[in-house]
Amino acid sequence: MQQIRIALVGQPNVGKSMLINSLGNVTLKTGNFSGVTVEKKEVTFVRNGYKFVVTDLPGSYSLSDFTLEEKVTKKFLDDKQYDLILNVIDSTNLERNLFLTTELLLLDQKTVIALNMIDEAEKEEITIDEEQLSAIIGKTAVKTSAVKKTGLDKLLSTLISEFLNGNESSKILFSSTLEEEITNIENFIKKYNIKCRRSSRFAAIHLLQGNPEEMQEFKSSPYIVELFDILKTAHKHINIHYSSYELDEIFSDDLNAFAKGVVTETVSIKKKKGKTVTDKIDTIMIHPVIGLPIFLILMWILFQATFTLGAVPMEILDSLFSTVIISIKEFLGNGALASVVGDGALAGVAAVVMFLPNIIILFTGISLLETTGYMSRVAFLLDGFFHRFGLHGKSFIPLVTGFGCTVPAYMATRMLKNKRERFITLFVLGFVSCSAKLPIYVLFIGTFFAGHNAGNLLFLIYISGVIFALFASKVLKNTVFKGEEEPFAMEMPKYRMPSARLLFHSVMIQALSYLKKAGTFILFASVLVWFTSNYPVINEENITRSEALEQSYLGQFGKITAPFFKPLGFDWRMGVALEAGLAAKEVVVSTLQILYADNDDTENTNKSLTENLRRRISIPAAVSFIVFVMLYIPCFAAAAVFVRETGKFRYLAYLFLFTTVTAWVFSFLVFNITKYIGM
Amino acid sequence: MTLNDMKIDDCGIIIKLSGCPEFRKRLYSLGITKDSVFRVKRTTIQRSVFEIEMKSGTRIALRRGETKKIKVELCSRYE
Repeated sequence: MQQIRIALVGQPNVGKSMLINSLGNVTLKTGNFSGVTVEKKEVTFVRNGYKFVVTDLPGSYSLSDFTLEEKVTKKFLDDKQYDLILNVIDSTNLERNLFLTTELLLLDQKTVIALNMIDEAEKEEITIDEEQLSAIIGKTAVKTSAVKKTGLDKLLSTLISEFLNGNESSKILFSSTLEEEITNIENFIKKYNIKCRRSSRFAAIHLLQGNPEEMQEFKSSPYIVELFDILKTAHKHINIHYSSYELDEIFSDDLNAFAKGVVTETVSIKKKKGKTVTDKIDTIMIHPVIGLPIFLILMWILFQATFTLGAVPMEILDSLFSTVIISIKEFLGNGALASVVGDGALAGVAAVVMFLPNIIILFTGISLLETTGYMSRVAFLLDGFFHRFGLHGKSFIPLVTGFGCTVPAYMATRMLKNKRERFITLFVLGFVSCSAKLPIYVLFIGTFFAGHNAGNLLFLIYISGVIFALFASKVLKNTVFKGEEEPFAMEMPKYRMPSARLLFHSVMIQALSYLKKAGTFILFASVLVWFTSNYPVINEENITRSEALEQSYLGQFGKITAPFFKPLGFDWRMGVALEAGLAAKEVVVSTLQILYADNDDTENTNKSLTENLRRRISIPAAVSFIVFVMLYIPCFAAAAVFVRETGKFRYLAYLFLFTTVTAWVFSFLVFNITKYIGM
Repeated sequence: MTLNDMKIDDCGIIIKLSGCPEFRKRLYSLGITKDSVFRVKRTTIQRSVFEIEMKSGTRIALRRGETKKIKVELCSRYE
């Protein structure tokens, strides 16, 4: 069967993915989640005797290097093999969409244009003469509606006929001044028979624009001096004509003028409507006064759903896993093998799967906010505040998610398209105390500050975590992530009804990629923790759990690292608890329980953990411990996701260093201050 | 004057874009180019973010810092 490889390109919010879903009309095999944040999806289906392999490229406004999406799209179109480009266009906004189209036309590839959302355009009484459009740009345009499933058969047959005998060169022409210079450079290329990556025209345009990659291609050419002369003259001519040296501006203006011209010749809008639906929704949703409360209520609902609703399947999974672990351990005879399988591997799998309900609910919510178009409004409302700290308006969502669990919070940073803002958010997220730290705070507040209005103290801890995160963002913005600020220019898309099918797909992809990438690492880590806390096995009678843990590798490691914690007022036990807490914050309490429980004299065996803690830990040390827990690196699961989201292990090392140093310094300060004021 | 000096519901025509090439490229791709006509739709309370509507119907949010890089002239409604 013949195969047609299609690169699916379009601006954001044009219904690209939905179109391909409707076109395939089969259960799609989606996969290939490569890249760190931006996922290009490959979709394969068989229709009309051809096998279609469609690469759904991330939505891009243009083929520049501005956002990650644009880089991925540009790289694919430049380097990868494909038979034709399917450019999807929002018919209700032809002019802006045509800008990308003009850039695609310059690639000189077989191209088909889908005038999507034609039903909406008709509703707005926008009429497009697609034949005239095809004639002007030299590529076939087909009217489609992914929602109403119209024009799909025609699109399919057009794709096939273009694949078989479409032409590659386009009819796009620049102004006569530019064309003259382009021809000059083209003649130079032809004269010396220089090989180009694409057509000589494409190379000529790039050379004229001063594209660094294209320049590199020609650098080793023996005719480089002559080329430089030609370019110099060309720039001089252009400058005389346009009185500007900004070639990108001149070219973009030209392309936009072309797009405007096309629109004037092909589109007629019958009447200007009064207020659109989007207008009406926006007067409420981003109202200067009630906009913010509405957003907060929506967030409250989302987090209630994530953590309250999510707790139900989480508990079921938890009890399910513990039953399975117990029965498997019994089946394996409760030996070392049973322990490694049960307490090591299976417990690790459980730790991964446990987060799944949270992640699914949260991402359904976030996808809803994104596909409806509300997310841009969130950024609009909150950007003023968060921008001061080097964050983006959308950073609010991962930060609040961080109160529940850092794992989905790290994943939620994907909605931030700017790398710098995304990285700052990723690096400070750990300072927002997750719910797993709650038992530690409760234990320590209850033990040392009972009666001192524990609720307020707890609130203070959580609030100071947020203040820390904001403060740290500001510091990171002015130091590590210093540099030219990336501009903020964001489209406010129309409100649209989300498609259940697409929603399901995107949530499933997120969930699967979480399981796949984070899962393997967490599994490894949990076996490691299990091993270090259980080995070497001491075959002595009457050994207590505390002594066994003390002599384990983890215990030995704790003793080695004790000097590190000493200035903070911690003994080696607290150090071990913190180190065990790297696995999961819940482990801190259980480790303290083991280490401080039964010990030396039998008299104390029955005493509770709180009494033991109060007896052995001073108040300054306790306060310092709380501060350390608040600020140090999140658990393994979160670390695994952090690596996945940042793409490099190196960043985890930075995060570890950054959080540990911060935690140490502040614990040290707090310890000495509280000691000094004599608490 | 710059876009930053405009009030809500003012209509303007773009005279010149300054700022770094990336910023300008972004604006071009959103359809904000020299001579395009737009209207200031709304701003946040502290005028930290502006929403403008282009004649083509595209709506774009810009930070205050960015609005200062866009030179405009006032014009009557969508001429």
